[in-house]
Amino acid sequence: MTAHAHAHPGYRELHRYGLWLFIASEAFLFAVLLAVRFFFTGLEKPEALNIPLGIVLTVILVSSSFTLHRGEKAAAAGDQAGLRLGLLLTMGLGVVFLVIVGFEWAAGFAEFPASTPYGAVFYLITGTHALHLLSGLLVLYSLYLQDKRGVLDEANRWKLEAGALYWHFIDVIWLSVFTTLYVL
Amino acid sequence: MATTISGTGAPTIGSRGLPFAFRGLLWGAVGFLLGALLTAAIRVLLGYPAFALEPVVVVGYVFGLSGWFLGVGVWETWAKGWLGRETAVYKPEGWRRYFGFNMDHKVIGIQYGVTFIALFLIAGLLAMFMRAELMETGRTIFGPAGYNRVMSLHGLMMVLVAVTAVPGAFGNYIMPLQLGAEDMAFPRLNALSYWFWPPVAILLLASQFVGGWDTGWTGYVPLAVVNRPGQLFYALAFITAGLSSVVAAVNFVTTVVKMRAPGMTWRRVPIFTWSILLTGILSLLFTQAVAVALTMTILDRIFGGAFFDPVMGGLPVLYQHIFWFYSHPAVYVMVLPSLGVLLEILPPFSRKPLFGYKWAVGGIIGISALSATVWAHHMFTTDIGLESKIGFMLTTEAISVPTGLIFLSAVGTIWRGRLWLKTPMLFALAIVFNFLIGGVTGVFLSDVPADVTLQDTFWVVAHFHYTIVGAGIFGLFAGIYYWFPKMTGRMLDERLGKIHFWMMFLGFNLTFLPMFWLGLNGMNRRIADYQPSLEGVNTFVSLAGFFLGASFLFFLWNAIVSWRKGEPAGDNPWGSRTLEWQTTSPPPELNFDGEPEVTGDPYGYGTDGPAHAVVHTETGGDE
Amino acid sequence: MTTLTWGVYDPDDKLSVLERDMGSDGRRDIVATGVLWAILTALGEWAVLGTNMLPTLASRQGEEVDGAFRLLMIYSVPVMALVLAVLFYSVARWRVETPEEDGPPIADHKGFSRGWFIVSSALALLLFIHPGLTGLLALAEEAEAEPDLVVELTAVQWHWDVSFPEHGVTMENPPELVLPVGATIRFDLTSTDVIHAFWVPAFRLKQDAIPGQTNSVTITPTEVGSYGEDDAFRLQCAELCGTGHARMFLPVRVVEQAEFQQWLSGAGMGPMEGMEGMDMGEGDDMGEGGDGMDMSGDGDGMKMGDEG
Ligand SMILES: [Cu+2]
Ligand SMILES: [Cu+2]
Repeated sequence: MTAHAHAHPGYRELHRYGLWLFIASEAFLFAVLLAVRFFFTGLEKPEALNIPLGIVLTVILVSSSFTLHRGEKAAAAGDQAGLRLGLLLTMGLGVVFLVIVGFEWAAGFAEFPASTPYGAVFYLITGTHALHLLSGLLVLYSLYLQDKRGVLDEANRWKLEAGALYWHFIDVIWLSVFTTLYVL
Repeated sequence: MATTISGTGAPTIGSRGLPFAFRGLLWGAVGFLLGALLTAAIRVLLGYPAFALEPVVVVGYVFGLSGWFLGVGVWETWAKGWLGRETAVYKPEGWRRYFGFNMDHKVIGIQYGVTFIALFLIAGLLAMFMRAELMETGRTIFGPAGYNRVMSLHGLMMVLVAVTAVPGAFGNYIMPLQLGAEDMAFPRLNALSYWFWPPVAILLLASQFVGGWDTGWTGYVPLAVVNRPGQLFYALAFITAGLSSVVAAVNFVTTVVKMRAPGMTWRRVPIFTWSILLTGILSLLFTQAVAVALTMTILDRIFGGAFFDPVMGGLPVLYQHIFWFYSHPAVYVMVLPSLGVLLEILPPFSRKPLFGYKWAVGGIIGISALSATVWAHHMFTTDIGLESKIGFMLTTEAISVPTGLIFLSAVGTIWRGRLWLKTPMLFALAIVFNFLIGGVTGVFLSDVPADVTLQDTFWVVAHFHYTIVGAGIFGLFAGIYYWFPKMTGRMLDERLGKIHFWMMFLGFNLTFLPMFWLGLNGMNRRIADYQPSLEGVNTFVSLAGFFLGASFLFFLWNAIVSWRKGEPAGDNPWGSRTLEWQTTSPPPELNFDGEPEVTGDPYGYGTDGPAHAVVHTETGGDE
Repeated sequence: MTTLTWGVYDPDDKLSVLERDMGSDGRRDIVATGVLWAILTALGEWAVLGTNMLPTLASRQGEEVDGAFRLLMIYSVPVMALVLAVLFYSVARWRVETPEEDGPPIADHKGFSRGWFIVSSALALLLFIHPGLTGLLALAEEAEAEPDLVVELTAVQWHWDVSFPEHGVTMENPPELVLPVGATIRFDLTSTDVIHAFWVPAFRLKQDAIPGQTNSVTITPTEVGSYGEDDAFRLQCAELCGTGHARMFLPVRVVEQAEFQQWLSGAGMGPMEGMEGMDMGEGDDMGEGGDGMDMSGDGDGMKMGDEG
């Protein structure tokens, strides 16, 4: 079988486009979720909401985007060790984020339980975000494994770009979740 | 290069042993058990009794779904790559190629087509039982509880069929061919989108062992929160189907935007492909909303949560907003691809260009854009407020304008044509007829003063069957009669096809036309029993319904026999100009024996201008 | 199957083979289709104006509904007739056994397409304004009217509880709902469990009964009548609410004011007589919402209309 010289776009361009579509779809998911919050409780929110903790969470995720970006830069410069360090730091921050969210939930159950409208919305939204973050962690771990096996070479560099883009997207989503649940 | 998997030299798997689908079932069962045990363990740790049906099913299902996918072939073809190991390609010969994670869009198109015809026939059989119950007043075969279950299952299955069958079968098989592409943009995602469906079928089957559910396909709360556990399976099935739609939509949109052959400008894109593009955009964005609504239902069921129970501050009407925010666009997902099929068929069978191509494309885009703004027209009786009623009435009536453009294109195309009344053309003309009735009766529902009496009656039932069956399902069959020769290399029998058509067309109209009258005269929908004054018409409708049901036996017979020994079709039996006909039937592995280049209008019938496309063979010196 | 070859339509030869054979220049087709359209429209309007498809109307607010419905029917006829005229005429006039040649390459017709677009937009706007907006506003105004009587309806799976708060009368699952003719009645609807809906076909208007909120609907009965004679007089639950949904209806009887007062005072005196005799859909297979697994429970109570 001979390969046809179809004038189709390159692998990277095609996949980048598809990923952006997926991100648009996910953005719609969160847009609906955030709209639900206003439907239920308008602009009211419980006193007990731990806003400083929300800020800590935000700082953690923003830093994780930064470390991942450093890793990407290192990879582009051919510095595999730098990439791996970036991935490890990012995953570490992601895990810390999830642990803090866990504690926040445990504390929150006492103050605004899931049987109250705000509680139900709060856990629905932060839970959906946490699941996305968990999937992002799995993606990063997969990248880490592939890098260790030496298959994350120039030809496969798109995978790194995709994983990073997804991770940054989850961070941006967190910013909107934080704004909606803690600030407004 | 390396845009598609098929070009790589990866090892192949699946040509011997048990088909992968069976392994998927096994791994899925193991996954389910693991998830169930995990849930039990966590429950014991938290101090609850170990077993509770719904939590166990939810977590078990998530694990089971993962196991199913890995088993059906994701493990070798994809997941190993995530671990940095070498992947393989599922590429057996013969019947086996349909029973595993095959990435060829032509295989996937046939998988979708056969699966959804089967689901359609099963759901149609359920409708026969419903009509049997409604033959007479009083209990006829199963009474109200059984009727509601059967009605709900019929509704959801048919909705899933209507949303998926045409894009699944022809969007996958034909659309890449029309683009001159060698496959879809993401063959793995394509396979993934198909293999979501067996779990959906298993869930719907399993739901019947825990009492089914009785909310219809819409699953309104609070009923959906307080009724039996079958409702959970409904929600999981619906969410799973939605995931499949999103995955498929990413693929469709990317393919149309990025994989067009050289020379295929937007003005040369065949109309069916346009309809798939817009369908893809709608599913991509709005499907997420129904996932939210159903997730909230599940959470309320499991945690007794506060979303929809007004006692705890919940808002039952919110569910309807979110649900219809998806489901109204979804009704256009059901119809647009079939309107694409309609406008694709009319030119070759009228031997004329598609009339008002730009208007038709504008109509498809306009319908899609407006569809996002009309959801609350399903809620005129829920007290949404005067301003909302005015707004949603305006947007809903505005939809009749782009819809009218589809009719403009259709009647303009057949006018002064050479009407070649083969079976595909008969189905296409029937769509114009049916959709006309469906569209006009929809205007009555968009008009608030009329809607307040028609809402939730058989008028609605008749209206949406006229659109979703009269256009959507007729479009499915129009597409089958048109593209079957391309997909199998054989013609369907024309005589059996015509018998099927006339029985289906007459049966359909005799069944659903009287329902408008029933709705006006006090027959509300989703009822197992009705007032004695409505009995005569109901008996007639039931008999007509059985006649409609019988028509599909002729189709089934025709399809099975013709697939095996129908008359050979040749490359282009209909003399069509679009690219899918400029290759062999069925097409070779990479679709064209050369490089397609688009040079002209896809519907240039009657002109001697440039052909729509030429295929440059590698040996040929036509460059 | 042999591959067919297609003749090309010759644009310079104004009359294609088929048209020459049939002796037409296209203009005649337009006229003929126009005539067919006119005939179909006339027939359609005759049918629409000459037949009554609607059940008994017994409320003032329902006149708005019926007016909108009839007007929409009148508008639909020419629209449908146009498409059908082209469809029928084309099939009759231009069907061929096997096309020997292509048709004329008419890819668009600017004037016709634009005209279509403009006319359909204008029609949509017209329908939105009337009967849509006008009817909606009229109904909204009716809903604001000061009621002569307030009736609280509470939907329960699967029956209606009725109370007349101004008269201190409350009835659980009554055998019928009696209403005075000519009075403006506001129904306050709510539900104790799932969503139900208020619909009396003879009154036309429909409104959901939703737990946690009270929706109102105002109706002025204009005709006396009862379920016994006409099943349009019944309060039918119109939103799927579970097993007993189909039979969740309450017979309605519209009577003269005096008779209503008499009935009400009789009802207010003490426990209602003869109410136990009514089986309002609480038959064997409707008794339990949670138990729908039994598809074969006996259901001899299913016959409707026995009550009448
Ligand atoms: Cu809708
Ligand atoms: Cu009901």
